[in-house]
Amino acid sequence: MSIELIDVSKKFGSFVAVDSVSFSVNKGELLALLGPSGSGKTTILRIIAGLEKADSGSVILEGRDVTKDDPRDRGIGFVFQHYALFRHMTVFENVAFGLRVKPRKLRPNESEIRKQVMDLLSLVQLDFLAHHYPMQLSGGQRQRVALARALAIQPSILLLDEPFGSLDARVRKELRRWLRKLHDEIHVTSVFVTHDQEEALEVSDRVVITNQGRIEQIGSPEEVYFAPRTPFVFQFLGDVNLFHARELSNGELIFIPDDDSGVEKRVFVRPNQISIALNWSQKNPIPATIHYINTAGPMVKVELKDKKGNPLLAFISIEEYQQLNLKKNMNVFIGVKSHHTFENMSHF
Amino acid sequence: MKGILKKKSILPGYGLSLGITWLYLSFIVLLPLSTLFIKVGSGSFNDFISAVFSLRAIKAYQVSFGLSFISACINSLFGFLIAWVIVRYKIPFKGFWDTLIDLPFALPTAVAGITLTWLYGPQGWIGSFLEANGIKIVFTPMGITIAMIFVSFPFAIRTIEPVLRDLDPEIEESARCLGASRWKIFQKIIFPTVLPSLLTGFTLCFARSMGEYGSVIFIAGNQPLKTEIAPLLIVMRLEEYDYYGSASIALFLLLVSFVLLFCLNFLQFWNKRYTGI
Repeated sequence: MSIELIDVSKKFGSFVAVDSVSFSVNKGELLALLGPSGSGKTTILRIIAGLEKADSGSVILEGRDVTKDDPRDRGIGFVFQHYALFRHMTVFENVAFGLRVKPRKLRPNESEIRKQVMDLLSLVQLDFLAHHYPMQLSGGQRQRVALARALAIQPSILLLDEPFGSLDARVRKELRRWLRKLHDEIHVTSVFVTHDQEEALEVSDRVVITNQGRIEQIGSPEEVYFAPRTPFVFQFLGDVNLFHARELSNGELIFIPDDDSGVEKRVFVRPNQISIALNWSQKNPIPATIHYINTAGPMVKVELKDKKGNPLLAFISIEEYQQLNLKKNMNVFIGVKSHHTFENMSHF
Repeated sequence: MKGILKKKSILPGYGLSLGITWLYLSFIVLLPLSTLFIKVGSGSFNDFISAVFSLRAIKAYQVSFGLSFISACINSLFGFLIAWVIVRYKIPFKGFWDTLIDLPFALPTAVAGITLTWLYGPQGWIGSFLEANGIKIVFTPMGITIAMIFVSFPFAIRTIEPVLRDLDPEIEESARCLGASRWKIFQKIIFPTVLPSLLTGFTLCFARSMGEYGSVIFIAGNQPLKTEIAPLLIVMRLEEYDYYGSASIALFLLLVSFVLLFCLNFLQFWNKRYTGI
C-alpha cells in the first residue's frame, strides 16, 4: 500500500470539506479523485501532500505515518492546476530547483544535475525549450514542465490537482493520453484530481468518486460506470433519464401504469439505452414528442418530452435515425432497453 | 509618420489628444529644462566645470548623494519588511496604518522639517534624551538622513507591496513540496521575484531624497562643506547673484536625475525579460 488515508476529516470554518474519508492507493497505481467542485477532492489531495492539515485521521505513506510531517519531508511530487512555475527561472532551472535545494550532502553536483534535468526534459519532450522562460511556453508545455519539475526529486508519490483543467479541449485529450503512457513507463504511484468524468474513466486504474466531502464509490472505471452504487454516481458519470415506474410483485416494470398496483420505483436510464419507435409496442410503450434533434457527432441526440412534459434524452445511431426519418414535433413511442434502480434512495 | 498616425487612429480624436499631450509636455517639462541648457550654454566649458566642481559643490554632492543612498538603503529594507507585514499578516487597524504610510506623500515638506527639528532638537522628546547620551541629531548628517527617510519611505513600500500581494501562494507551496526550506523559498523564490520592484523602490527613494529641500533645510543646519545639500547650494548661488553658477549645478543635478531615471527604465526592461508583458 503506497498511500493510506484513515478516517480523515477537515473543516473550513463551519463548512465540512472532507468528512471521515478512508481509502488506499496501491503501489504504481494511477488513481483518479473525481467529483463536482466543492466535493472535497482537492482538499483530500492537499492533505496527502501536507499542504493542508487534517482535523482528524491519519495519512500513511509507504507504511510511514506522515500526518504531522511537513510537505518537504514527504517526498511527494505535486503538480498544480495553474502550473505554479517559477517565472523568473528558465525551464531548466525550474526543473533543477528540487535538486538545488537539497541539503549539501545529498545534493548532486552540477554535471549530474544537468544530466538529470535534461533527461527529464526529454522525457516530457521539452528539451529544446530548456532555456526559455515559462511565459514563453504554451499551457500544455507549462504543464509538462510542472510535471518534470515534480518528478525531479524522484518522488514516491505524484499528486496532480486538475492537471488538465486550464487547457483547451484538444490539448487536454492529447495530454491525458500522454500522461497515461508516461505513467505506464515510469510507474510512480499517482493520484489526480478531476471534475471531468470522461478524463477520470479514460486515464485511471481506479476512480474514487467524492460528493460533499464523502466517498460515494471506489472502483475501476468499468465498475463505477456499469455498476454505480448510488444515484449520484450514476448521474455524475453521464447523462441520465429518470422514470417513475411501478414495479409489480413479479419484478416487471410498468412505465405507464393503469392502476396503483405494485410499488413506485425510480428508474435511471442512460440515453443510449432508450429506443425510439414510430408505433406503440410492448417494447416501446411510452408516448413522447420530439423536441430537438442534433445530428452533429457520432450519435444522434434526440430531445423528447413525455406526456407530462418531463424532458427525456435519447442517443441513437445515425442509421436508425435515417431509417425512422425522425422530425421535430413528431409523436413517437420510446422504450427502455436497460435500466438501473437503487435500493438506497437517501440522496433523493 | 503618416503611416503610424493612420495605424493607431482606431479611437477618435487621436490627432487632437496627441497634439495636446505634446504641447503640455513641452510647456511643463521641455521648455523649462531647455532654458537651463541655454543658460549654461552662455558660459564657457571651463566656467561650467569650475562652478560644478568647486570644493563646496563637491562636498554638497557628497552630502546629497551619500545621505540619499543611506536613506534609500534603510527605506528599502524597512519598506520590504512593512510591505511584508501589510500583505502577509492580519494586523489590527490596517486601514489606519495604510493611511499613515501615505502621509509623507501628502504632507507639506516644511511641516515635516519643522516637526522633525522640534522632535530631535535639544529640547525635543527624542533629542533631549539623545543629547544627554552624547548623540546629536539636529544640524548633523544624521538629521538630514532622518528627514530624507521620512519624506521618501512610502515609495519603497508602495512599489514592493503589489508584487508581494501578487505572489501566488501555490508558488511557495510547490517550492515546499520540492523540499525547499523557508529560508530557501525566500532566497530563491520570493526575493528574486520582488527584487526588480525593490530596486525600483530604491531608485525612487534615492531620487526623492536627493531632490528633497523643504524638510531638510530645517534640520540640516546648512553649514557649507558639512551639512549643506546640493539643492540648497543652488539657492545660495542665486542669493549671491551667481546665476550662472546656480544654473550649472542645477544642470548637473538634472543630468544625474536623468541617469537615475534611465537606470529605472532599464530595471523595468530587465524585469520584462521573463514576465513577457
